[in-house]
Amino acid sequence: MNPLLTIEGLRVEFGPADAPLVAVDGAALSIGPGEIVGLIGESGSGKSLTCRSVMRLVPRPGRVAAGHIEFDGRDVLAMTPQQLRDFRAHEAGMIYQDPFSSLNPVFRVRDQLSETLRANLGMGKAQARTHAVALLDGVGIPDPERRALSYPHELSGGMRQRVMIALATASQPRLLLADEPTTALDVTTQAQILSLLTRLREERGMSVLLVSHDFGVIAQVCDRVAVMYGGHVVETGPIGALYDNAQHPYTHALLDSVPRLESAGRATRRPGIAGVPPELNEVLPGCVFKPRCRYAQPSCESVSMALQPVAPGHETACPVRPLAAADGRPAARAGAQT
Amino acid sequence: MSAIEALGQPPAPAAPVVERHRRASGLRGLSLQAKIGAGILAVLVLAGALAPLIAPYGQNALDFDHILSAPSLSHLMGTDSTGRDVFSRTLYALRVDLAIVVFVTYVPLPIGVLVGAVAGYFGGWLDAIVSRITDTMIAFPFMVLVIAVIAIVGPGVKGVLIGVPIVAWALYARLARSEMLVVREQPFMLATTALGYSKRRAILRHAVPNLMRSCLIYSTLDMVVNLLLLASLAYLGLGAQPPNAELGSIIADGQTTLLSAWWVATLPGLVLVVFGVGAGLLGDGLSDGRLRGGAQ
Amino acid sequence: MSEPAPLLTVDGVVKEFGLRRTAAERVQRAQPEAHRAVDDVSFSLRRGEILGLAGGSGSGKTTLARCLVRLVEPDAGTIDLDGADVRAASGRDLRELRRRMQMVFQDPYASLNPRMTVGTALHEAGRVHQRPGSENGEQFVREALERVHLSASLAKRRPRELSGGQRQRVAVARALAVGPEVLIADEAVSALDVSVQAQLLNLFLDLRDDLGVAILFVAHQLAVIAEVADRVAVMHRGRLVEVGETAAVFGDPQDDYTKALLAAHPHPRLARVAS
Repeated sequence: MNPLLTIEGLRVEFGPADAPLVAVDGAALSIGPGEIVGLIGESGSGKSLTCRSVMRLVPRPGRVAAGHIEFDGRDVLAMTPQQLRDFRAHEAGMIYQDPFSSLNPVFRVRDQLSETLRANLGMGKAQARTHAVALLDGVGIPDPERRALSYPHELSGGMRQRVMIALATASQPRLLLADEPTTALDVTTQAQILSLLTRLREERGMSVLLVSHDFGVIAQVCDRVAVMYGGHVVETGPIGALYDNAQHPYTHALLDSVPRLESAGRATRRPGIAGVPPELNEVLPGCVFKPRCRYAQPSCESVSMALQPVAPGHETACPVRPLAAADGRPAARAGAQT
Repeated sequence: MSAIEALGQPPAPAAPVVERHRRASGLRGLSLQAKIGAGILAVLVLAGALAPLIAPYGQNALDFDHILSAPSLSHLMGTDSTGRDVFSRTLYALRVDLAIVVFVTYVPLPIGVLVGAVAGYFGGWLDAIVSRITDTMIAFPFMVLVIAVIAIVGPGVKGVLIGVPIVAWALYARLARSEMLVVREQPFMLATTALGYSKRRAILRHAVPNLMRSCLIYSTLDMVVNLLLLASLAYLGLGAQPPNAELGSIIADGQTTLLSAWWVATLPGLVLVVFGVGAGLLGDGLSDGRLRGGAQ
Repeated sequence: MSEPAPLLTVDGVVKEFGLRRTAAERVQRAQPEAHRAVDDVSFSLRRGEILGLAGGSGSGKTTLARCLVRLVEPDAGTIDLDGADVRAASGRDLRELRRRMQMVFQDPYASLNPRMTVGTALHEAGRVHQRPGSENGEQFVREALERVHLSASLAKRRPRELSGGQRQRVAVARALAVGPEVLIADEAVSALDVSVQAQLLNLFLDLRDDLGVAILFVAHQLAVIAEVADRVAVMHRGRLVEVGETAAVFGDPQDDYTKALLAAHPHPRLARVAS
């Protein structure tokens, strides 16, 4: 099946062109129709910028310096302003971490929805209002007629996020970009939002790019995941493959750092990852993870960060493959419990 | 901003895990703008301070052979109607004026900051009282008050030195208070309470250093305002009395010959403008650094 | 076998926030319903134990934590630290009680004074409370940093030059510098990357093991509490709904809210067929 979205060689920079600070370098991933793909990384990994690049919404002074973003066969980076507007209005939607500041505080919820419907779908005023209420119902907001008349500050965080989702999916886009949508939410609200996203995928066949730092969130809803570190994608693959058989030392170390509910009561010491992620202005030779990698070898200083296949659909940027068992079976991970 | 545009805007960082950029290590110190502004002010201050050493002529050296002569190598800013060298007079005037301006700007500043910080920290009735007082002082027509003081103590520098600080502290108090309302909710301020530090320590040692920046930025603007006030009063004859030079009085003297000998009034005025530009650049440069993204 | 004696006993603590009255209510002289952020909460923290305090947003756990050190004044109830009445204390007594119960806050970017170097902040803490060793500033600071596994070279740096994890460690070092018996970690690891979070959690376990500090660990992430806390207390809308050994509460929850919280915790669904 042809992928809906392909990103190749994406490079996002800041600063002067002759001495740029590179925030994303050579990122690559793809999303198929109806697929939920996770993008996981910690601070400074570049995951948020990668997500924003898809809609060409990288905040200034950042810019997309190189790369290829293809949506349904069309080159997004080469779109004219009008084509880009259409793309953003009808084909792709985006939701953010903080729904409060993404909704205009001085307009009622219904009016914000109506505006999208009238501007992007050409509905008339009355029709838009009715449809707005239907949209709110569709994202699971109880008592939608009354809630539609609320202002954003009158709604809880979870409700605001639902409104955000309603807004972003009003024109039935085929791709939803979700940049840390549940990070600021309560765990119970988070669960509801995640199940809403899954339901939308099932009902409409909508693809989702879900950016998060929380592996639990990713593991719950994503089919495939890409792991980013220091501006590079270091591993991609089906969620099960990464969980049980992570091939990149960073992915492995990251998974080892995640606390598990199943530990209940047993004081658990996890190794974490010593050191700090690279600064924007640090240019590291070879593998960006080498300074913190326990399997690092001198040859790691001259590797490119290109992804190599390990198994069908599973790729890693680590040529050393310290984690592959000799016969290719998944290597057991310390403290791994499923 | 319409809802559609709202969709396209990146959100303000509010929730816990946010990819903040730590301050890149190269951006230490002042911005270029601030440095240029500071440089201009430094030149003017030095020129004034060293006036007795560098002025080519005395400030009241009459020379009836060269009245109203145009700017030349021997008289950089020309001469006035009694042959006095305008450049020398400007330097001496700068000396007096800048000294007064620094005094009336930076004496009320710490007083105002302290009052505002205390009022903002404690809130309640103390804050209410202080705020009403500062509101009243600020609402008062500044110039009227200064002239009233001059009417009491007589013309001359004394009037300004007394009159301006009486009101100026209130501006800093209000500024410091509103900054304090924000700062006192910051976790590091809560930590001072949790650590058992005295309120005095919390206010003076922890809060005030964090309030100072915006007050200092404001003071650059204040300096310009005060210099202009001083010049205006001198122009009206209410400043330092002749034969002492003040920028305003030099300009006033040159007014009658504005069309025939433009340099007497305009060139000292230009010095005022340069001062304003320097102070403005410095203030802007300082506030840029703050807004760009230090830990907030 | 006797249990360790409770160090901190909290009984019936209440904190209400009055809602603003609308003009209509004012005219009618109607009394609006006050919102109880902390509603009759009682629990105890034993010596050498880590007690987790879990709950969603609006559960009141942060308000409760602040009530314990009187950053927020409780409206009712008693707070007893090893026999001393925290609510009745004032002046020097209060300062001393606060010294014994230190807090670490959530936001690593705002819990340190941006204008003070690390060394100055740490030394100040020691001096204000006249801690032994605080006369020798350099040594005191070095030891304070060592306790949290940070190098002494950080003493000259300002917070903005440090990473989030380092700042939190400095915040912990500052809290430890005054020699507390209780540490209240108010979402202290919530804003950190997971790889850094693991190191901070190890630090808390070390503090409990090596220094015998009792820790009240406030967090909304259940998995974090699961790996660190001996016992856990669950809060919902200001009330304490369940308390017990962590394994028992998470393994066999009794209260409906606890059950809901556990059910909502994201769990990996690995046996999925990609569409």
